Amino acid sequence: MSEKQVLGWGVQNAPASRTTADSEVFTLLAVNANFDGTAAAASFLPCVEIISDAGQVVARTITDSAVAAGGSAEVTFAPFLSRGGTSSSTPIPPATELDYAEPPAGTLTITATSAATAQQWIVGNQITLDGSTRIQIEVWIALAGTDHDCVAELYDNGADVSRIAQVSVTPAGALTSSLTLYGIALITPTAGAHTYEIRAWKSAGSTSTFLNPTPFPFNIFAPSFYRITAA
Amino acid sequence: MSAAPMKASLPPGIELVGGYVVRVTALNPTTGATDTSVVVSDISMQVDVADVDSDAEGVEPFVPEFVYSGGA
Repeated sequence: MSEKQVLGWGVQNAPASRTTADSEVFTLLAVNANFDGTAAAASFLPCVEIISDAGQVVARTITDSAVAAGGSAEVTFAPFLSRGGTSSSTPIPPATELDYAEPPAGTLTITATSAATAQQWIVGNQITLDGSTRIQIEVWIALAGTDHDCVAELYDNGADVSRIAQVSVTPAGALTSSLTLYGIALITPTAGAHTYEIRAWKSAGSTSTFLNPTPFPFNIFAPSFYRITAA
Repeated sequence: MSAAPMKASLPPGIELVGGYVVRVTALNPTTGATDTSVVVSDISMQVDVADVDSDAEGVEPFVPEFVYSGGA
């Protein structure tokens, strides 16, 4: 007996099956696979099933938590691994960058006047988290101009989370302020896929803008951005 | 962002003989039905084996492109 790795399964929609040949007798040690749920409309459980030659299920093993709709996972199935979602034995090292995005170049003229109707400004890439990883979300706005209030609002999967940066001038209309803004949030999101956004809104009646002076190098400011790192 | 690493415990000592099937699949957590919209790839199966017929075409020597026998 010796250990061997059996490959050659190809890429296919679930399920992918391999039938043991009559000439083979072996002991299963581990299975590893990638699960791409980009087209999945609902959450799913990665699974390995062992089915006997009589068609009966001998064993069925699944992950303890589901992969969110649209999410992906690389899963190891092996004896003596504790059940669980994202591996707690391989935490993401602090400061690891999980996402980075910049807004469209130029000036955003803010028209929205509430957090609920805030305008999309920076749209992040989807990240998948395990429910226990603390993350740091930063936003840097090269120049925010207002004569009253303007707010950078953090959104997650299309839902309002909280304000992450704001500049206010009082009394309203007394002067116009142009400031570089930096906002930061430390949160532990739920397990699953997350797409974060920075949206913008202002107080009614004010004139407010966010600036992203790309392309870089630029002779006034470096680009505005948002970034997520493991905290 | 790459796919999240996950793990699940597999019963130890499962012996696979002719006709046994290993199926890698995705299940709906509510109904248990197979979610055929999920694409599975890069499947590797580590086995303790006397003879491997990795392409299921009968008794034969190892097929190099399908069978990796160790090393770094």
